[in-house]
Amino acid sequence: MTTGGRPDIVVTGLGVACAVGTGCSALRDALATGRDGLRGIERFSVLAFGCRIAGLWPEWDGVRPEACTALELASASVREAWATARADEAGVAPARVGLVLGTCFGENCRGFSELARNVARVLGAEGPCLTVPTACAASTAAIGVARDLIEEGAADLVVAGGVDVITREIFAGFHALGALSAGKCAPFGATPGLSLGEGSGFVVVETLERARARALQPLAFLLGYGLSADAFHETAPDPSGGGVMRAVRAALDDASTLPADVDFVSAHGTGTEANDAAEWVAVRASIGDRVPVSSSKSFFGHAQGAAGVLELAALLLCMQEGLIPPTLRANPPRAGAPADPVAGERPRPHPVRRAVKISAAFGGANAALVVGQHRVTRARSESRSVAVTGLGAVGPHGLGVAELAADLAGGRRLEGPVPDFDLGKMIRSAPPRDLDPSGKYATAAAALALSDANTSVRGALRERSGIFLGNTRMSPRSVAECESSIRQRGITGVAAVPFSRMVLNAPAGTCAKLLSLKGPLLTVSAGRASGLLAIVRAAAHLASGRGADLIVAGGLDELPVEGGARMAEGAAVAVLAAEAADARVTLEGWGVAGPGDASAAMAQARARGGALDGVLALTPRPIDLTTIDLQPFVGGAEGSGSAFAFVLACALVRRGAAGRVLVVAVSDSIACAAVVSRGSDGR
Amino acid sequence: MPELESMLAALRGASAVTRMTHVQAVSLGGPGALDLLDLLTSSRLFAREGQMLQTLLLDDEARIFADAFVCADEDTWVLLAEGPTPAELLAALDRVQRTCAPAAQISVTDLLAQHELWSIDGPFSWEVASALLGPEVLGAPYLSFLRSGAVTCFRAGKTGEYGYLLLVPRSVAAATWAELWRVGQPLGLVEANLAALDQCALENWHFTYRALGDRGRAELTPAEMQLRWRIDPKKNFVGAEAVHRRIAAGCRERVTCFVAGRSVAPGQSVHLDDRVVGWVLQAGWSPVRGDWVGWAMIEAALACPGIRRFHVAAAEGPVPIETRSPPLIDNRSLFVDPRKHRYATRAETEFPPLVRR
Amino acid sequence: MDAELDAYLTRRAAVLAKIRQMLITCLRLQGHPEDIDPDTALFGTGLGLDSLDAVEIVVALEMEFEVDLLDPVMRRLSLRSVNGLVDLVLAAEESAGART
Repeated sequence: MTTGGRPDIVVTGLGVACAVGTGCSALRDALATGRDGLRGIERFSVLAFGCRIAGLWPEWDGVRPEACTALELASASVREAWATARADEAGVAPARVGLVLGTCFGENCRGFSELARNVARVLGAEGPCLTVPTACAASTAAIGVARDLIEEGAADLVVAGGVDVITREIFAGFHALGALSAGKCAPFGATPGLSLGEGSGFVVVETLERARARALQPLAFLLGYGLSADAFHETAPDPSGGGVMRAVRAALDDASTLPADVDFVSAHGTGTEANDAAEWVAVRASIGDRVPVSSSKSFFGHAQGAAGVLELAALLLCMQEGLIPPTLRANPPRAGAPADPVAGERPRPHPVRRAVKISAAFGGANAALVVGQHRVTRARSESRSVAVTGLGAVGPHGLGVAELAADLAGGRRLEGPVPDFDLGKMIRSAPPRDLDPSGKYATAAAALALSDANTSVRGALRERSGIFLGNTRMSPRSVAECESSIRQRGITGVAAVPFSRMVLNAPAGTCAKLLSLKGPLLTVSAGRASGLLAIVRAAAHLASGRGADLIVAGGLDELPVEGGARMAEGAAVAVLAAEAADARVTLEGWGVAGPGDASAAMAQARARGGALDGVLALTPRPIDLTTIDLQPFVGGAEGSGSAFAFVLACALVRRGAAGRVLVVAVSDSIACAAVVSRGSDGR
Repeated sequence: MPELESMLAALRGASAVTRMTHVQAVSLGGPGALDLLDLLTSSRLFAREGQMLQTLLLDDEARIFADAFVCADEDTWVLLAEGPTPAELLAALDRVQRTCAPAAQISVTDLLAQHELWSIDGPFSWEVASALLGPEVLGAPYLSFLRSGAVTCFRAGKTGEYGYLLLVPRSVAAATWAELWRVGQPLGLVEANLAALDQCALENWHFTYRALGDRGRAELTPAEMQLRWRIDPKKNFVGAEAVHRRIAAGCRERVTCFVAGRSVAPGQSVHLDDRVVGWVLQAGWSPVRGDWVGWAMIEAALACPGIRRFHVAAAEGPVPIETRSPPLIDNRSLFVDPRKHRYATRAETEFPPLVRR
Repeated sequence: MDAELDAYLTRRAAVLAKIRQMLITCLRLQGHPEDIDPDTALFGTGLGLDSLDAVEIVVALEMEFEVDLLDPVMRRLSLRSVNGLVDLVLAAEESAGART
């Protein structure tokens, strides 16, 4: 009960499908018997590679690779999660059931936004639905976002988790990076390298109150989560462990948990030298050197977007029985391994009051969750005001917001490519190497916005400054470079750098690195609402005082290599700051709801009242006659269009042309709204 | 202080500390600092906070005035320069400021008034540095710097081994030196000198100001010295026009690495049969290799590794030389991994040899 | 200049040009191939490449120049400068020539 404190939020349902089988009982059995699912690959040819094993889903043995879809794999576990939560009995309307899906490669490197919606459809969920494509940290971050949606009242039940399928090209990409172990991965053990895995997993997240109402015993309390950016390198983790440390500290803080309260850490533990070494440094610094740390990847491999939720599942299944999962093949240990890697083949009896789950991704995105067996009183802190202190836009119109506003006011639609520009002239720290367009646009827009905000991210502010971006597609140029390298050099010659840049959170990672944004990093995909959704999530993060005082938020698009009729590319971002004095534009309110529920989102955004001077909308159908339908103007930019709309609204308010503007974007999966107003009346 | 050979053995096999009295350290602050450095230095200054960049300071004729690192600190920039005296360096800063940015607000602080600079180099120097300063040192990437207590530690070095430049406040210098030896002695630390560091730089193809010699300083530009990687093609800086003119015109000669079986000296001419094709810039005996190594300025068309046709007109007669692709040492540091290895147990690992024949 | 030396210099120049172009193309470096001095270091100093670039170089050497760099020790020792890459390619061409 919320007696002034934050509501207790719990995990009530759990479903998994991975290399050791389908269903929680298969996973429980594998953990109990020390049986891993890493075996020879037969689904596609691996003769050319030095590594021949992976953690493939057994249901797909003998199935043609083309028939292996992420949707099918996700469906295999999402139903179990729903059923174990007895969610049908919860009495929740479909529009109040949300879904947050983590994935690295989506549906064959496409359909990122659509995948979440399609999985939601399996359950009949019609509430807010989004994809979190932050690579290997995706499902961990997704669960955190789900927690927020419940806590903010945007949904009553949220199903959260992740899915990823291994294809020959993905396998080749990791192989090209030199990351694969020839044998079964041995996190913290003698042989370095990772084993790729595939799978899906979901949890159901709701308030304790709601679970109790149907006499359901929760699997665990979801106490807190944290996000961070390494801001170090595209694929290599920061060897000082700084990024993971920041994510863990933010999670502990959110969970009102002290390091001494943590009884177990489920590590990201891929098995690579770089990850494992840096991660242990981070765990020692943020939690301590006595805490047992194990890697469940030793059972089912690195399931990428599904890794976090599958490892959380292993943790929860063991925790229920007073056990902690072991790390297989951790003996003999490598130098720099955790003091207690829970080496062994059976789970160890070890009571866990609270545990931490860590995930770290390409692009330097880190996520950590704190879960526990018991409730923890967490004081509700004053909600902080959120202001828009700077605006930046890079698009076919060029660089800057004034030109953008002039263009749109003149009836010109956003269409075509971004004209060439030298990032080095804008950002001193940009090295003289060619950046991919997505990274370049995101970084340029962010730099413009920070400059507009007169904010220099230096010193202590770096760890309190984050970046949230909406992005719906893999960078077409990086995909093309990968494909071209495969054509020219064969599958084993796939180019490592474009492969690493393909993941949807790579542009945010690049931006974080070049601008030293070491706070929370998040990328979201939700069709045409992506940009506005990123902005709204950033606002929520700032308002709750969680780990950041400033977040650069917006959306991003990159044109297909061959161009695209009526399509646009670019990035639009706003600098959102908490408790900014003398702010000219305030982000007064925001809301998120199911795609059919735009009015709920708008009502939430308008909660503080006040007359609107205008409504800017990106919706499939017009809302009402007073709305300015921006679809014809910015609709050509899926990921960033709604962010362009937001930036435009802020520009109008800042110029004094409007006092209060509502921006709303509705896609097939989510409805998002935000109200910006002249901000000098404080909170 | 031990002999040159033992210093080199330590630099190549263990670790050595050198007092860097030949390096100037200046801190530049204020809103005009970056612009000033931009005008003064030849590289694009894209360093993020905590990063260092190697660069050059040239004169108007593109001759090399200083070999420097530019380090991006929170609100200041640190310039570590070899070549000029403190007065010469400050005069150069002053001249650029007056001519190019007279109104700019810049504060210049000579860090050596309050600090000493030491360098710890060698395949196990990381072990000494982390014992002295803490484990964060181990995670510092090359060309980055961090603060450990009162000491600033720059991960740099021109020997081809792990190297750490320490800026130590004079107030704690004595105590830190004592502590350095307390932790370093069991790790094989010896004290080295500039001659030893320069010999290592020579073997590893690291440019040093002293390698130029008087004739080099007067005649050579970054173009002949194969230092184009430190020249930004688009930036305006002192000497930019001259160096681009030299590049566009094509260099007459280019610095080339060579080895020889007998002693050769700077200034001696290099011949192809009976034709003079160049001159020796710098040379030194390499105890680690067992031969003489050097750099020669050779006609551009002939300046190639793998040629055994040249000879140097040395005092005692012609000395055949062989041009090579540098570096000339298979540095132990390439194979020493702080996560796996320790000085104390170094004999347990079979490392590749330092020299290939 | 005699024919043997001349032939060697010509062979080297040709391979150097290809290596320079490969570095610019594969690693997306800015600038022109001629701007890369022949003895420029690859890692740490010089071009300042990183571990991902190293992977690219090894793949390009194997695919485009048929240089075999399976031995991890040789890999580390051979990838130190642009001229070092030229040496590798010339050596591979010679042993391929010796085999035929």
